[in-house]
Amino acid sequence: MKRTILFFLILLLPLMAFAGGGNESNEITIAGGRSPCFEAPIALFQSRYNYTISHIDVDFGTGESITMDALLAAGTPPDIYIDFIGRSGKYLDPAYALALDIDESLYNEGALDWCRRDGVLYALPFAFPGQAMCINTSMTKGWVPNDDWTIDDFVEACKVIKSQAVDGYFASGLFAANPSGDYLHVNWFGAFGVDLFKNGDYTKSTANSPQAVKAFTFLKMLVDEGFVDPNAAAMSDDDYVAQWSSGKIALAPIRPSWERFYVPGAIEAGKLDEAFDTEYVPFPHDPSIAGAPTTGGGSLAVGHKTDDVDKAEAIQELILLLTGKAFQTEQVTSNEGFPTRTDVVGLNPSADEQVVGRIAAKFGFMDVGYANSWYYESRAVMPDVLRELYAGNITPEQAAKLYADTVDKIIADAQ
Amino acid sequence: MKKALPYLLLLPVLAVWMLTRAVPLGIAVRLSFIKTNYITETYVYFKNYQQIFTDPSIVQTFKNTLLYMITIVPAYMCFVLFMAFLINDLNKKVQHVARFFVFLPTFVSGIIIANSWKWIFHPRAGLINWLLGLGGIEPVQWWSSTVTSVFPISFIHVLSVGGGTIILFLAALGGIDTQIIESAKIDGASRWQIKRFIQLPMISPTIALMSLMCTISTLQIFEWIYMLAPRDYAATMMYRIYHDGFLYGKPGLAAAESMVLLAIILVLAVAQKRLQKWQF
Repeated sequence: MKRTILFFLILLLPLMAFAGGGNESNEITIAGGRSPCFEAPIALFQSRYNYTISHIDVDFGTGESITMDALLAAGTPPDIYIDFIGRSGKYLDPAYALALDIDESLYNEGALDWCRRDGVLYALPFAFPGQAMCINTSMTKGWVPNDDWTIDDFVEACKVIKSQAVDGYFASGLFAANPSGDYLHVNWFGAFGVDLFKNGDYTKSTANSPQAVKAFTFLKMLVDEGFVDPNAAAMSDDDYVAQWSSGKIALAPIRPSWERFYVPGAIEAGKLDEAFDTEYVPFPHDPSIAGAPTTGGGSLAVGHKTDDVDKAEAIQELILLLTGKAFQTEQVTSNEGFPTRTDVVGLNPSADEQVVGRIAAKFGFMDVGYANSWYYESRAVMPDVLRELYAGNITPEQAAKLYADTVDKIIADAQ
Repeated sequence: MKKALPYLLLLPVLAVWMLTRAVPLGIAVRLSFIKTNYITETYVYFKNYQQIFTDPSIVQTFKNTLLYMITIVPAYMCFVLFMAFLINDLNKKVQHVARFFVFLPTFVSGIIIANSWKWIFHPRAGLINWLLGLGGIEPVQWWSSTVTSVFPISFIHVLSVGGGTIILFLAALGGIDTQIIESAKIDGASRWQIKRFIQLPMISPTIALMSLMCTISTLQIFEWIYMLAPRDYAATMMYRIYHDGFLYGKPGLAAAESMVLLAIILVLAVAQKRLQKWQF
């Protein structure tokens, strides 16, 4: 008898793997985006709706979507997914996402453009950060360009900085080892007036253009002239940010808010004796255009669709509260971007962030196709092309064609 | 009942095996015929397999893997055999110390080892380029092309994972009847002749097995690529599977690549069975 009981107990062990799972009907799960600032909106939500809230931590460490893939494969997708637009954009899929019906006048013009698929609103944005050109004035000895500087001014500045820089310090910076942080260098294409996609048409890349050839020529020149680390092709975004935060790049595309944690981190790690002085200006621009846009990279909250009408309403309400006025005000006042809602008043208190705000207001955000299912794959194309370009294996003309053709193939495969 | 009992007792193990091996394998086979982002799925039948053999970047990883096999397997086997014979000739006390040190890297995580090598091969501040610089050689951008990536990665692999194999060869050498060696010595055989004509043939089944294990481990190189050169020009099939399955959300393609890798390993396993009969 004992043996039989033992046998069945052992048999039960593997079956335990199937225990649990499945969201409770009165529970709303939120994956990603855990923040103390969500406590107030969640409390407000729970005063109106009878749902318990549970959080699922998402590992963003290497930029993968393993947690979401695992949750979907297990048939237990979260009710709300919060993540960088480059990853969350994939889920703006009618088969997955809850279509939202909200008062769109609450949002700034264009703020919801990247939250739609085929005209249907599937997500809501948080405050949206952007980037500018960080001038390390400790390296430039106090020199700061004016806001309306051109690519020629940038190159002249690079020549002067290079002539005075000691070994290991560079006029500017590039990287091409990985797709992460692509907005940092993709902004150069905006500085040359390149449209990666035109007028929101994501069926075809429009990057194979004379302007793109100019941009690729410029980037190759930065490498060839030694204005950037000659190892740029093998550097990752982490290497690049470490180089900048160690005070070794004079003119660096970067997000101003990063200075608050990366530079103290470099000091703590012993890579830097003391913080360097900085000023932020817009990207220099090609004379053929009035100014360069900024590239953003904020987060979206996407709801998972459900047949339960009451729950769908509750999910929509919670998304509205999480991305709402309170949280966006907190984001903006802690220097992390610009509100996407009209009811968030007051300027970002950081003068550096205000530079980005001025760029965004005047020249907008660069459209890299964030909200498309294929975006995550397409962002890997640029570093592949840049590595070939920096190695001298392809010309700028070939680079522009290769980039556009590869992105077109990815788009076609995704259909 | 008595006859059925052994089979009943095997059931829990079989259930665990089914759940952890057979069912995932079945799911992977099915997955290899579909295109899915875990939201929607479409049967594409052999399209994923077709892509493996037509996509230049995937074909490149096949070529890289082959290149790793060509460079690593012979170098690895020569290195571990040389080390094993060397240690085997030492006196017992020194042998114990040597065994400990050759096996030590096996305890360290591959990612940590890879990170250390990343510093050693750093293009600007690395030890290797510093040494090359002493000889007036320009710094090498190690992780910037196939040629400059494959050889350092092969070198790292040989040095980092050889410990376990050396211990196994030492065990095989220790298992040879000492009387045979003594007889050879009495017959006037030199140390080289004893190694070449007695010890080597007698451990040939271990050599064949270790060659297979080394080949399989070469096919599965991952952490060196992940940490040092996560690019098409240096990637192995294993890295490509991770790349497609987890980075780019193409589980169907990754599953098809896994099936191809499985087929290659099966062929190698059969070849090894034949090879075991071969005598040095």
